[in-house]
Amino acid sequence: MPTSTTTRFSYREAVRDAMSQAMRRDADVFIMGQDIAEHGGSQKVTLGMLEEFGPGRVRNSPISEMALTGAGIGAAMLGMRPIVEIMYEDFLTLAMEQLVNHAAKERYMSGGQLKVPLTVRTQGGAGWSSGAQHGQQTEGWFVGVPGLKVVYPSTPRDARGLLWSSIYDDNCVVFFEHVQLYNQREELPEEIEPIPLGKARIVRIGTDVTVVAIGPLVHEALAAAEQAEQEGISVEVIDPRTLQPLDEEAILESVRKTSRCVVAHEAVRRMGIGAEMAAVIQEKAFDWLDAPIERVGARFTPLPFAPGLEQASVPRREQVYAAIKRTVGSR
Amino acid sequence: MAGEVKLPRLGQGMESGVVVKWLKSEGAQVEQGEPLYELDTDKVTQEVESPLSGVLLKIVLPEGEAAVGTTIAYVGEEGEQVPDAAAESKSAAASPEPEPQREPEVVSEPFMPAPAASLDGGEPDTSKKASPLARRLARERGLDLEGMTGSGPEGRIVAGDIKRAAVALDSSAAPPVSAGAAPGAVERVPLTNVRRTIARRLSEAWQAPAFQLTTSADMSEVLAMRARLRERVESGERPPSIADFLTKACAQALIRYPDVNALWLANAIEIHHAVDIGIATATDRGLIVPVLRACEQKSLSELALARRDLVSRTLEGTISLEELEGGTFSISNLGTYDVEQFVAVLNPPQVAIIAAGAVVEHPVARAGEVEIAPLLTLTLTCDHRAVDGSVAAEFLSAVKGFLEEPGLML
Amino acid sequence: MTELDYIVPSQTAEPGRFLQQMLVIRKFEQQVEERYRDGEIPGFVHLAIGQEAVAVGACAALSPRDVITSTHRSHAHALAKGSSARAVMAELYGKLEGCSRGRGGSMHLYDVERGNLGSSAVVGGALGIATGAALAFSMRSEPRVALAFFGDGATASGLFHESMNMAQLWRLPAVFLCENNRWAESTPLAQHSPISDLTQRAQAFGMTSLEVDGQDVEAVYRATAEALAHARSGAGPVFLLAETYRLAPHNVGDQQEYRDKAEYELTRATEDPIEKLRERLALPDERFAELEREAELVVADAVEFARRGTDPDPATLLEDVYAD
Ligand SMILES: Cc1ncc(C[n+]2csc(CCOP(=O)(O)OP(=O)(O)O)c2C)c(N)n1
Ligand SMILES: [Mg+2]
Repeated sequence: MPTSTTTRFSYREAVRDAMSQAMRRDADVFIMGQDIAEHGGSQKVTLGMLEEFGPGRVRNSPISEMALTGAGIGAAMLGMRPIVEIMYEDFLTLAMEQLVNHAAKERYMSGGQLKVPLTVRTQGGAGWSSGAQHGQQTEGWFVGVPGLKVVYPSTPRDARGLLWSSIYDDNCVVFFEHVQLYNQREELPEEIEPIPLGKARIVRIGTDVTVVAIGPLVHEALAAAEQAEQEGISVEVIDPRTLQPLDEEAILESVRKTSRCVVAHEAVRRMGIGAEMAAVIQEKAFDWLDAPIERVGARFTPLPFAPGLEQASVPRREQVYAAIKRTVGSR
Repeated sequence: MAGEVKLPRLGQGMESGVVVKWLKSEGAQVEQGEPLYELDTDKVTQEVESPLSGVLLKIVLPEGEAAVGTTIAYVGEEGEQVPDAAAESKSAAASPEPEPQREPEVVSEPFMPAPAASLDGGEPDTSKKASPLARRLARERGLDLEGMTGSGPEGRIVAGDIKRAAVALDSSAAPPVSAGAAPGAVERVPLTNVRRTIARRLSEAWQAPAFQLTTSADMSEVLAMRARLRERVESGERPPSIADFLTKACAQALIRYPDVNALWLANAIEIHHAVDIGIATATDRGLIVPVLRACEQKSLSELALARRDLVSRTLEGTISLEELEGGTFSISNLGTYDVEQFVAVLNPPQVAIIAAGAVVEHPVARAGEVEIAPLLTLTLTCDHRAVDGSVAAEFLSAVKGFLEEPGLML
Repeated sequence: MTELDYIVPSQTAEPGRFLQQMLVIRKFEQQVEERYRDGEIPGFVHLAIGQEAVAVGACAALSPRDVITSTHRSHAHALAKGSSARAVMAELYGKLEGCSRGRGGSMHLYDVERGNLGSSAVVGGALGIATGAALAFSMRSEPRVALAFFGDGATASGLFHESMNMAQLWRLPAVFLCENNRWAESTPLAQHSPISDLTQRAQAFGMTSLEVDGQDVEAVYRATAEALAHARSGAGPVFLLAETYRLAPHNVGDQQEYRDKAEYELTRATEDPIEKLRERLALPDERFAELEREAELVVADAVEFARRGTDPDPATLLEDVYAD
């Protein structure tokens, strides 16, 4: 029996490990981004990779998000598997044209002649007074683009397995990491366990309410679920992990079981991915619903700087708990 | 192509029915319009006519419950093929559990959403907040949401409320121990549609804020008049009964007090000027309330005839569904059962019902003298949301007045 | 006419072939205009009339393994890079037989097998892709070059500057071929660029630049060959400026109310790259007429082919949204 040793990985290290293992295995995989070489990236995710892979494959780039992404697309079209790191997801706006008009459409417009196996990694998230241009959540802007895939892991294991699958996916994947999750830790085996894109994970089993949460809200939902459990409310927590394509079946199956649903994300509530999930649920599980679907998300403001304001804007366990309670009513 | 015989909707709100028995067997020739099977709906059991002429090729549902629209048989030409059994049994599935629709792999997205399928049986009742799940469960169990209280978000009726209501109903319809059962054994009798409807309506009624008024009418004049009429009617005919007099008296009083001849609707009170009286009738299938129409226009003898016909057809079970719908007031008469006085439960959406016991001789004090008089005790139950106590009292005393002076109402 | 791959990049300076190819492109564009006006071709179309020498001269210099990216004005580039007139015309008709299977249309002509990575209708949008293709060649040490066609108008876009900067920084084997036709839709160069000598754009990045008369196909061929040699050698990218003329409206239907009529007519009379080559070759009239007829036959065949083409099945709508 093969003995498999495990190591304690932080979310940060898990992301790095997926990239490093892919780069060791495969000369076509490389990474480019701002300050990712000696500095190891703004969040130190690529720390040490320069030493191992050299400046040709760990490419420090000029501050050119558009060209960076465009170059990633071009290299991908020629069969490489580039990883582009966009320092903050707020800066995806500068790359948006290339992602939306090119990465997403090249295959379709060419009638299937091209593939764009590009992974665009980025990070963001509130909780440290980063202000309005360094902490918002933008995943909802990309899920509505046919041709793009969107991934958002919440744990080290998922981050590593999903990033691996993203690198080896033949489509452009926008991969969201959350700054507050980088120090989450988990025992993982040395060997990568790829996690297929488009498959949700049931994080916690319950019978009364389903909470579909992504990113940091998965952890907030777990805390809220513990609190609800004290009152005899049994909460199921589902992390879709991939937002595009969305594992509708997993969500629907759970909601058909519990008849109540809360969707939760850190991005603004209005027009968020949660709205799409709620729409899917009401379309396909209407007759199973026992309460209106509750949405938890940030208030409709730019992310404020002052700690108190920031806290007031972004949802945490209290909001998830309150939403759970609302779906249950006075029973 | 063999024609399908589908379970028909025979009245408002009917969602399903129970095939009791087939009057023809497979292979038999049937004519369109000829009775083909017996169907138990939530109101009556009735014979249903064949919609087609031909040979009864296959009976898909020999007996049991099916949703409206389910194919229950095929009629066609001798030797004709009918669709395969798998398809049949699917379409005959009793409760239409909605199967999650798989999206077709490749479709062009419609630019306009399809209009929502209109709900059969008219507009859904939106006055009552209930979850989609609760509505589905209620539909499947034949429960009515009206009158239920919700425990969900914002007082919404949720699945748990339906389940509790269903349990309450089950226990209220305690299974009778049948004569043949071994002593001490418990027999579980599944609810018939009729029993379920009774249960539902009565528990609904029980939620209404009702009040009762009781009075006694001296029936000496009615009895005297009845004796005279008995002499006048031709042999073989029966004179009007006490119940007929009571019906007539109520009809006359209702004309005067139309507030009592009314329906409590979700957003309004509907006052009727035609008097259609429900006659509570105990049958071996349970309590059924056929409606005697236009009582205000009928003479006493016409009323008597119509009432007798209605009651006997109800007892036989040959009454039509329409005859069970649309009453504006009800009479429950247990006079034949040696019951002197009782309280009837409202028959919603009607706002009043009168309960009559047996005519019993009582000593009464009159001008300082004690006399013996035949008294009929009447108890009026009213829905206080619609009827005030004073109106109810006036109405009841009008009924009493007509019974004590029957000449006034003839 | 059976020779469907009539235009094959020659890789040699063969003026006779250049003339044939330019004529096919000219006749092709003229047919497209007519077919479009007749309502046969949907969408909207930008013609390269007047700019044939740039496409033909540049593509002739490319090796078959080199790749190009193109623009909204893409027909000439696609044909010059070797796509058949049939496949390109069928694409304009939205047919399954089109070079992009009817998914692309006039502004999105792809022929990956022949090294055409496609045309972007977002002005300047493909410059990053050409840079990335060059990056891939560089990282894999392949002796290939990515050549990006773009207009003068694109030099004002952010991606142009980001890509030029990055390509020069990383010494990528790329050629940025700017077709300065002096117009960006209705906007003349002087209204969209503070400099009239666009090679100054390259100087800002320290990039080698070359300038060429875009109406002289042989000169374009030679200049492109030089630029390719430079890029292929590992010395870094080249900015190649071809001064050319748009001898047609911006797109079919454009009334050019912004353009001086006399200037336009004069330019058409004096700056036609086909007439210039014909003159230089001192071609007898009968021979020229023969070449024209041949070109017309190629185009007529392409139109017939496109008309008989298959309309894509709506059931295939969702195909190729994702690679699986
Ligand atoms: C980003 C963007 N902005 C505007 C347009 C509209 N547009 C299409 S072509 C064009 C002019 C482009 O000029 P140039 O780059 O010189 O190319 P030419 O048309 O002269 O070939 C414009 C403004 C567009 N397609 N893309
Ligand atoms: Mg121009």
